[in-house]
Amino acid sequence: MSTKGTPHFIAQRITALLLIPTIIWFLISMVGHFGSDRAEIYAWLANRTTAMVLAVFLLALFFHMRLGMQEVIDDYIANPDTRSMLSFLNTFFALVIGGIAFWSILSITLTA
Amino acid sequence: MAELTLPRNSKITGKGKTFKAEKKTKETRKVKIYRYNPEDPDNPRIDVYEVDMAGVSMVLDVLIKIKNEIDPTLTFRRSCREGVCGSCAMNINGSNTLACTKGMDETGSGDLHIYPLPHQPVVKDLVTDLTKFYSQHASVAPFLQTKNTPEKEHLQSHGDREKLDGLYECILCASCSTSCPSYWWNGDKSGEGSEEGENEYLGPAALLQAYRWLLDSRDEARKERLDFLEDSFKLYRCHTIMNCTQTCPKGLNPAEAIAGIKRMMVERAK
Repeated sequence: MSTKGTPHFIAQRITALLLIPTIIWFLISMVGHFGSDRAEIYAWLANRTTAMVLAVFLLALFFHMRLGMQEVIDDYIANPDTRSMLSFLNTFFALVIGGIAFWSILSITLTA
Repeated sequence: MAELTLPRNSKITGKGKTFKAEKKTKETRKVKIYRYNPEDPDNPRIDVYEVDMAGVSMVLDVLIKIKNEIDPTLTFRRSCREGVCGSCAMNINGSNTLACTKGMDETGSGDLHIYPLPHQPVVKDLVTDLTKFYSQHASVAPFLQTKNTPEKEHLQSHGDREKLDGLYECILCASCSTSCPSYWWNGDKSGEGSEEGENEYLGPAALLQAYRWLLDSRDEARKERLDFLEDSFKLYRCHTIMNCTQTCPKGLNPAEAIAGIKRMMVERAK
């Protein structure tokens, strides 16, 4: 079954734009923490600002991943039933992994 | 899965013939042409013709020379021989173009390879079945739609008319659509479990025409046209690969037209 394409098209671009600064921030942060022990990383994650930016980064990342995978599925899977099943699995995987990531950030920053 | 390899009976495994030149000159070149005869049980083959290119200027002239002087069974479409009708679109040395406007001086000095338009059902030799392509063009309603009938003609300013430049010149030769990988995978889903026309990409040629009518200041069906294209397959299978623009023998830019439709979609979604 085909769906409306414009919301997908817009969401793909918005998440891509969000990912540009957040991924740079994430990479710089990771390099900055090179050699840090667990406690230091934990303290960094517990910071509210870090947690907020990280949450935006990860949510945008998994949303963008889902949208991108959907394109691949739509492009190459011709059978409508297989495509529906893979689309469902794709969304399910993104929701689960995104949910775990978000919950992890919340639990660290709220319990610190 | 999308069909990434040719079906077994489409693979070029047939034994090709070689038509040697009686007398080889400096201007003799080999022309390798895809041959397929539906009445023949064999798979498609490549025939090799050694042709004296003296006095031959266009690729279509080579084909006509082969048909007249070497092998009358060679089948291809041609009509206007001046890039207006779009009949002689084929794949020449790896690019889709019109045989009548492709000069021999543009084809280098090696062998000349001529195939039918890619990923279309072959009727015979270089002739492909474009029924689907034409039905996709028809689906975008390529004609003026108005709710009001003026007393005389529908007027248009010079500025509005200029917006259609680069769009109306399309001759529907299908070079662009059949060069598009997205169109190969998703242009025709018949027999793959979808309803007729469902989950199908319209391709650059049909979308260029859709944009031509979306931009027309006289047309009053813009909403309906955009509603029709608002679909993850019809329009959004375009991934800006740009083969269409690179190959268009008329120098048009279907990729830009598709981007224009996407821009209209985003603007109306605001």
